[in-house]
Formats: sequence, structure tokens, C-alpha cells
Amino acid sequence: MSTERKELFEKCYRQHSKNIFRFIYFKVNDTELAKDFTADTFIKCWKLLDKGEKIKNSRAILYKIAHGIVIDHYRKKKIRKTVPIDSVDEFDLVSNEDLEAKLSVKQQSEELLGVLKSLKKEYQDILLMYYIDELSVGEISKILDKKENAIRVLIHRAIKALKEKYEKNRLN
Amino acid sequence: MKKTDLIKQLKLLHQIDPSDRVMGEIGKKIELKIKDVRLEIPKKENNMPETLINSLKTNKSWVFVLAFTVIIIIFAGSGPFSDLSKSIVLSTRIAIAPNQYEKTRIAIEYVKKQQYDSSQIEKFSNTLAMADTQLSQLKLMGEKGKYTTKQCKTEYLEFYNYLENTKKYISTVTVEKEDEKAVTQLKSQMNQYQNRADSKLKLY
Repeated sequence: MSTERKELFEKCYRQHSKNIFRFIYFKVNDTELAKDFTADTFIKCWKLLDKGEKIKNSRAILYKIAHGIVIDHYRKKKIRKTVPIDSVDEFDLVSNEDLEAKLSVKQQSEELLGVLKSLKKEYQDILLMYYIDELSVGEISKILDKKENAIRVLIHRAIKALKEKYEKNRLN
Repeated sequence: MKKTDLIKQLKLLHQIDPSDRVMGEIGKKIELKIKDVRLEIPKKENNMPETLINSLKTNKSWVFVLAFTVIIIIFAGSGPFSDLSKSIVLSTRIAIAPNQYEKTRIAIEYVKKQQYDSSQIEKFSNTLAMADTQLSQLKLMGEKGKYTTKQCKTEYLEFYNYLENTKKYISTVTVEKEDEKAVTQLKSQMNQYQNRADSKLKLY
């Protein structure tokens, strides 16, 4: 492989590996699995580059690969029910705030993640990609193979569903 | 809980980064399969102070852009830089407008302030083209939460009327022989834009 492509791959890894790991982790709730899947995502990306494929939007491609890997995993395992979320202990918090604030963020995160995981998979994907990983509607439409208008509708429905469940969760 | 507050909380999850240990292990897994690469542990995401990042991410980012633009205007507000600075201001305002309706409104507002000047036909033509481009990107049925069908119709009407009035004005102005070709082309351009606006208005 050319030096240029190798540098492109290393750059992709630097820029997107954390986000890809976080995306996969939030979906599979298993650190070891998330590590394996993240590595698999980048290995598949490498193979595409090695074949000489022109990659216009590396972020979208990586998410598409990661999304596909997770779907395959669910199909093999035939997992239907949601899985209780692991603690977020494997994570650092990049905020500059003090420790107390960090712990507060962590607690809120765990609560919100718990509710997020109880939504249907389509809504989880959309919320993860749009709000947490800040992908654009265009990128998400390429990843999920849906039209942009359909993605906008999904975003609206997903946040509505999250709000309803979150409020219900707080009342209980 | 308000939807905006929920979204803010959701976005907080972006702050959660995997540890260096985890990233190191992932890097090693990849390096085992791909011998040619050396993968560094990615650095922490926020290299800039958080307040600056947050302010850039909010709608208040236009304050920085406008402040910069004002400084340019003060230093370059006269002479040959005057047109350039106006152009920069307009482009900046359009670029940072939050949606297509706002972009169009700014463009049409600017166009309406332009008086036809026979010594600057090309510049006038470019201004009309800019407004037409913005208008053509409006979604006729509006965009939920951003702008309505009625607002779109208003902009089309404004542009149509402006073109109509300007064409009438141009027909009263004496055209120099050397300008004849340019004026004919301009009128043709205006007719094209007017027909387009008219066809869109008929859909409402």
C-alpha cells in the first residue's frame, strides 16, 4: 500500500477511533466486544484502502462498517432483549470540570444511557449518531441507507420517544 | 423535562472517552493484523478550552464572525476595498445564517437595496444571480421548525416584484451603444429569473 494511503488510514484512526469505540460500546455494552469490533472496523477500512477504493467521507464509511458489524453480531446471537448496561468505568471524562462535576456527569450519563438502551434499535442508532457522535443527516442517510427526509423524521421520533421514557423513568 | 435540556444531556455523552489503556489495546489488535501501520493512542478530543468550544458550537458564534467583519469594515470601509468589504459581509451573513430561508431573506434584502447602475451592469447581474441561487434552494413547502410555505412565497413575490420594477426602470434609462449587448443580456437574465419565480408562485 502507498505511503499516502497508510497515512490516510493512520489519520482516520487518530480522528475517529474513540468515537467508533464509543458508538459500538453503547450498542453492545461489552468492553471486550467493543474493542474487538472497533479493531475489526478499522481492519475492514484498511482492506478497502488496500483495494484502492476512493474514500470521500472516512467518518461515514467507518460508521457504516461499525454499524454493519454490530448488526451481524446481533443476527448471530439473535439477541432480542436489551442488556443491562455496564458501568462507564472504562471511560475517562474529557471535561475540564472538577471531580464532583465529573461524577455528576457520570451518574447522569448512566441514567440516560439506561433509558436510551430501552428504546428500539433504530432510535438508539439515530440518537447515538446524531446527538452524541454529531454526524450530519447526510452522513447518517448514507450509513443507514435511508433518505435524508426519513432520517429527519426518525430523529424527531427518537428524541420524542427518549423524552417520554426518560420522564416516565424519573417518575418511577 | 424540556426537549432542549434532554438534547444537551445527550450531547454530554460525547464527553465520555475511552481510556488510553482501552485505545492502546485496540491499536495493538489492529497492528497484529496490519503489520505496516503504527497507531498512536489518539489524544484527548478537546485541545481548546471548553468555553471556546461551547461558544463556537452555539448560535453565538456569529458574534465572533461579525466582530471580525466589523474590524475589516473599519479598516477597509472606503476606497477600493469598500465593495470587497460589502461582499465579505454579505457572504459571511449568508454563510452563517441558520437555514435556507434566512440565507434567501438576506440575499433578497440586499438585492432590493441595489439600484440599477448602467456603469456596473456585471456587478448588478452577479447580485441577481446570487439571489436567484439562494431562492432556488428554498424548499417550496417549507422546512419544519425552520420556515413556512408562506415565508417562501413572500420571498418569491419580493424577488418577482423587484425584477418587474427594475425592468421597468431600465426601459426608461438611455442605453449607451457600448452597453447595448450587456443590457440585453441582463434583461434576458431578469426574464429568466422572473419566469422561474412566477412558475413557483403558481404552485402555491
